[in-house]
Amino acid sequence: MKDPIFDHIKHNRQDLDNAEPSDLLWQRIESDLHPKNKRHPLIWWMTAAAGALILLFFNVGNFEEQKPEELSQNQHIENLDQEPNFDQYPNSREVRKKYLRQQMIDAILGHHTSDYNFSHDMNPGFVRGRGVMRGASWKDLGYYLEQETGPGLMAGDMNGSTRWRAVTSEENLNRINYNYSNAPTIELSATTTSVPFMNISPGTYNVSIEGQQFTMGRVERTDDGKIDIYRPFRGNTFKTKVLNNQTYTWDFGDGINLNGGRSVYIEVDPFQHVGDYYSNESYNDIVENEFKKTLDEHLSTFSIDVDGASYSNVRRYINNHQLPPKNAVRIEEFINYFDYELEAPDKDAEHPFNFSHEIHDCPWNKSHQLLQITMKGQEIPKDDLPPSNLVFLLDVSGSMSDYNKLPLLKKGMKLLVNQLRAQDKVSIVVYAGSAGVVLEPTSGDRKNEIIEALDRLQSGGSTAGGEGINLAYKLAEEHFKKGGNNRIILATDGDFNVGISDQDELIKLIEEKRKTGVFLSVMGYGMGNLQDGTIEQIANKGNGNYSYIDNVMEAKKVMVNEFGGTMFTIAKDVKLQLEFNPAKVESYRLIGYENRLLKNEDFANDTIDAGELGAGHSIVALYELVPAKATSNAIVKSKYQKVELVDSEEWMTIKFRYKTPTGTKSKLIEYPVTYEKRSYSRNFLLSSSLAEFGLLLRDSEHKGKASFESAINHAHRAKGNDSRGYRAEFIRLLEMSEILMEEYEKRK
Amino acid sequence: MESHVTDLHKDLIDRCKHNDVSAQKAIYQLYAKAMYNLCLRMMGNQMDAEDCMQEAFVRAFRQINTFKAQSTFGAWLKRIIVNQCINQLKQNKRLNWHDLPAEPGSTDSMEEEDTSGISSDTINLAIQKLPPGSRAVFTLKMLEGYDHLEIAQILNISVSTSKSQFSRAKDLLRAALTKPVQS
Repeated sequence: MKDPIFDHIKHNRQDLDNAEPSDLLWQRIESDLHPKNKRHPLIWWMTAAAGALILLFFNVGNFEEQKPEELSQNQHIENLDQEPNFDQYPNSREVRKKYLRQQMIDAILGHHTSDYNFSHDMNPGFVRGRGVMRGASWKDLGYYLEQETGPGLMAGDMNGSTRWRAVTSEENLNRINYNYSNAPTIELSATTTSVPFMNISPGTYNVSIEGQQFTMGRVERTDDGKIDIYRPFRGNTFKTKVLNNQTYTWDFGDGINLNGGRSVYIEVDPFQHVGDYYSNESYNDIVENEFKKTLDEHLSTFSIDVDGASYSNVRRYINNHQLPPKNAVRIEEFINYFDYELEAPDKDAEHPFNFSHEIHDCPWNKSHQLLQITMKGQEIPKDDLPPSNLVFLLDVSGSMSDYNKLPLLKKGMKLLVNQLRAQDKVSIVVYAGSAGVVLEPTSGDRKNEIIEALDRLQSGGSTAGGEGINLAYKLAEEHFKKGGNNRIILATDGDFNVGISDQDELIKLIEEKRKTGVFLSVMGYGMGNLQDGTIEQIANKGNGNYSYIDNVMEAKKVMVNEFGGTMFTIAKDVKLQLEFNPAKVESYRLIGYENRLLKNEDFANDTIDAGELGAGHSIVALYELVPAKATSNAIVKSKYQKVELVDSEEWMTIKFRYKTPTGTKSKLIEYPVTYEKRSYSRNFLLSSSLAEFGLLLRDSEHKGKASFESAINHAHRAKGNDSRGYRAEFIRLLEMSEILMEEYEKRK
Repeated sequence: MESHVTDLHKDLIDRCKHNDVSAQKAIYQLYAKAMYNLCLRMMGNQMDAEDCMQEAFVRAFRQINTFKAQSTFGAWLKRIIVNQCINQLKQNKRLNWHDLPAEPGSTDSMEEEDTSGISSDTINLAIQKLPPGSRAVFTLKMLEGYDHLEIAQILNISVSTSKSQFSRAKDLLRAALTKPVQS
């Protein structure tokens, strides 16, 4: 039988295998095959000693031995994968929100009951989850949770279920796959006791959140007699507050031996810290651009910015269930974090980048228009890239020892090393107590030597400076590759006391070295003492990029996927200038780029520094426009001034200036823009929803009618094929932020 | 051709027999992507697929001495992966040979079908939405080249069940993939 669909599938068989296994999968296999210091986690030992109940749901050994970054990585990927699975549940926004909120609470507890759904073999009206419950007297109760469900509900979704019961095993300590058909069943019921919370004595307690789930918490009594309570979250402990000032008791019924059959839980607030940083102003203040009247100022000039650090930094806050500090939100970096569907110019094109524009109704203000300008840099195949001379300047001070700093840095650098060619050179300089060269310039095909040097790196000592940066520049200059990519890559968590203590002097040095052709990029790691604004400034002065690395995916994105973009410059000092026509545009506002604004006269001044465009990189800028209403060609500006308008259909002229990587004289591109109604592109939907996201997080005075609902809607429509999952992740962040914002409002 | 491929990796396989971690990693990297996609299709979600990959590769490396080059290494490894997936599905009670949606949807006018616009992602998503049983049969038959007799043995079902599951899967897929694209 002729069947075109299956012929099509057969012919495209190879293309179907488009999923990439996680980078961490091999590590899991390797650690199974070649275990290192196998240990029995305390919890396992205690369970066994109590002779009590089995942990049914997990191979505890594996779980405990997972490194923290692997855990967060798994969560990360799982988040990306959530989308298709959601189809089986009702799609309404409210249900989706409820589901996600539940997941965020589950994440606090570490055990995702809902991840282990499976259908019930004997009782089809139930779905089941697996979990571990803390019993009284430190006994762990492994259980299968059964829940009678209505349509669209799943385990973990408490609302609407008619009843819960836990099916447990009393024995079988070593059996992971327990046949539960003969297990005793106990009914769970939550009752509020009359025990006032304040009478509770310090110690370790079970903590419940919204009466649902449990984990270990700690109660301490402060010196002044008050009670503090802590709950864990992803390896950290957070001080939190008690809700309702009372404890809950869960009765386990008679079917199980749990020392009295009941245990006490303290109800805590899962979102107490949502606003901790929200109004914290330790980031460089961003004063948002205002609307400018075209008649007053018809020119608008700025430098491009290819950084995406603000986006990954903000992602870290949101994944920790906290709203980011408003000034950590740089909208142009949100927008430029993403790849857009743009065509790169040919090899022999006149200019090294393509450009285009779109004008549509502004999503958050229907009476305004939104102008999107896009640029796309020439793509250079990896093999044709000029040789690289990379000097890594690594902070190995004691504060870098956290799992999300030096270990993550090493992982990312190993990924990069795999990409290097024989003509590339890498050297490594470290600074901490003292600065030193740990890897002399080494050719990119001697990967083992580079990796061994990386493996030897250890953190320790204070950041007492030393000759770090001078040493790095010395190496870079000694092995300078003409026409190549000569760059110092500084990796730090903020203590970049690299030998020159005076900030201005440091910037002067970086600017000076930039002229010799050695550029400087910065990668930020970790949280806490990250000095975001200063780091960004240093990277800007060094003709470099600033990236914030919060997980392995981001390390891969920056070090591998963007190796061409972040590392190899195809045009430098790229400036934009827009000249608006007051007859068409009454006023305008540049969204973001606040610290990239240039004076109008600096546009044509080639001594003024501006941003670099890397190979394959895309740049997007947005202007919110207020269309002109006037029909007359003459506008009275003041008592003594009358402005005669030129008869033109043009809304504006867009001008670009750039230099070739080695050039000193800039080239000018200039083109006029008229308005025509066109359909929305996915690029526009994406950039405008990112801007809307930023306006909401900043609580901007220009946010108009911006809403998470509209941003989510647009982001969904912008999703496209999204092979790397960044857009799905963005939707996820929008959805989480909406919940966080609501929780924040409730607690204000 | 296939045996030639085996020879190419013979050295690696021999080193694996001595528990050489770098050879194990090299073998893993050679096969990881194809096997992962197979797992993903069989299991329907990433987490279970990764678990199966882990279990199966660990098992394969531990039992690599039993590989006697009667088949290609890839076929041997694939069989371990498939068995692991099937066991996992059975354990999770997700294999059900009766519970199929009753209405497979319209199947006429497919000769006119323009298939060129169907992307891999769309096809994968449609496969993912099949019930686990027919998804397993479809994957093994259409995409991995097993025949119904082998599938019946692997899944411990009858040949006719395998055939009927396969045609159910095709009906469901056809219905899913000929739906007008929503704009």
